[in-house]
Amino acid sequence: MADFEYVSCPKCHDKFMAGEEFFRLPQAYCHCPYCGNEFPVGVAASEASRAAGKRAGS
Amino acid sequence: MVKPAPAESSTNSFGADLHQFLELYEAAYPGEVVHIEKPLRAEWEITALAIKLEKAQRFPILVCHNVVVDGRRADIPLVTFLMASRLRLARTFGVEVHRAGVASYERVQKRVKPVIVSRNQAPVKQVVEKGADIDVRRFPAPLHHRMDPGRYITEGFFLSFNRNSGLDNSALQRGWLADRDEIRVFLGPSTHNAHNLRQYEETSEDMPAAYWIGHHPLALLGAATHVGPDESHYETAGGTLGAPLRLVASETLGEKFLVPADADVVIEGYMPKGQRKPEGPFGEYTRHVGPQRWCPLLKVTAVTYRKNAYWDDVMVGHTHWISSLTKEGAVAELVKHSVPGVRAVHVPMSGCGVSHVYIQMRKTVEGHGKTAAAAALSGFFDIKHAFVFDEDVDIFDEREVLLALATRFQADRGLVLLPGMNGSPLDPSAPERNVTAKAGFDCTKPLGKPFAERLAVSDEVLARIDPVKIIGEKRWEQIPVEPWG
Repeated sequence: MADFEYVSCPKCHDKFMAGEEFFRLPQAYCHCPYCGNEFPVGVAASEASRAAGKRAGS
Repeated sequence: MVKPAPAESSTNSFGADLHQFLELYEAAYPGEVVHIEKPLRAEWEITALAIKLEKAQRFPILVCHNVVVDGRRADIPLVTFLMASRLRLARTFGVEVHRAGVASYERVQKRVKPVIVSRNQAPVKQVVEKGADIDVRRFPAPLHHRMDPGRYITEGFFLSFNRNSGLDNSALQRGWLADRDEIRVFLGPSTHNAHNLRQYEETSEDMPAAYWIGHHPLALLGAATHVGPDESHYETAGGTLGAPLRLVASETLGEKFLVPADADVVIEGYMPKGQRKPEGPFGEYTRHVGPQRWCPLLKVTAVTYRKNAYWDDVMVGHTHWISSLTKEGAVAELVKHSVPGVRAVHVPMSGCGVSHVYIQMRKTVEGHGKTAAAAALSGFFDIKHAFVFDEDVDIFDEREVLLALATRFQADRGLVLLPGMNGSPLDPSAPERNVTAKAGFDCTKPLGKPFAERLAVSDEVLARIDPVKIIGEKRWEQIPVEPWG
């Protein structure tokens, strides 16, 4: 069942299991089951990072 | 195969809804319905109690009257472990405990059409909440395990109707009570409810849907039965219960959207087209955590319930017989088409109630042991290991099962190996999703060759010798029990 990865919440740093779709879908975001923080990973995180870079550069 | 007493011979199925069942069953077996008045927090405490009971091999119905949710006592009690006892379900079918699987399988083959009743005949309409009054988080659903993101509906049937045919579909599908009017629902991609959602989304429509929670155990077994896409779960529930399921029109989804009138709680709403949010991680039947998923959600439009409603919960990842009991009968039915002489089948809880099957047979032709194993492994995608035994092995006693594996199995001649088969998507050891290696273990003695006898003393001596009397009751109680012996 290797269709997931452990991700670490950037806020509370605890780890949980996220399905492969969170790394593939640009609109998907994770919900930390411990602190409720919501954050992107994979493609969505890359796009968010790129958008932030554009804003910083403009 | 020895034919069991027919399930219809039962004269007492303990009523036709959850309330009648609890009342009648408690009257007959007062020790097996435990009312707990002490406060128990919804967060892990109910699960911890279940874990300890399971370890002690005791499976009473737990009625928790004082569940503390977010620091305050919930308005309604929680029922859990309803489906945890094989003995209780056997009594409900009116059969001996080892025959419960066959009885369950026979009963779920029956179909009874539902009947429609008016709102004032429907107990589930005694309290109706809409709009700002809705808050599904007030229900005493437990937080089951570490890593679950919140409290979940587990013994709730997610209900939708096929957009084109209008056929009902109910399935036990988990729902996270994420907000006062939002439940995030895991619909496995190959399920009929997921198919129904796809139909609505392809036409850019929201899908009307509901959860129904709390009913007679036989209605639950029937509704949970896997049937074809052109069959009604309401009819299987009625057939298994032995009486038509009474249905009533919804409050907010139209007169054609029918819900069980005798349920304890109904949560109505709609799945907004194309909308997805994170759901899970969640503790699964495999006794391991399944990952977070990107899932649809139910926006709640109405909540209806009985004045004296129970919140019915199943301890997912712990003992329950919802699917395994019926599977025993289904395996027996399938395997006997390949080989004669099947005596009994057991789907044990040690295999998560799904992955392992023990088959007891009278072998008359060499090769039938391996054939029986292969039939079971091929016929059910989620059976991973099949073990076949002679009829002198008690397949309901796992010490006997393992002894037979140790003393009657030779891997070079009794092993059936089926690599690359379709398997459970939730098996943590699977090399890739939906793919697994399966194995069969023919533990039957070779035919026509001498085989060592089991150790024994005479039956008369065994019956006569009573260790408590010989050692003395007081000394007997002082001797520690050693489960690893």
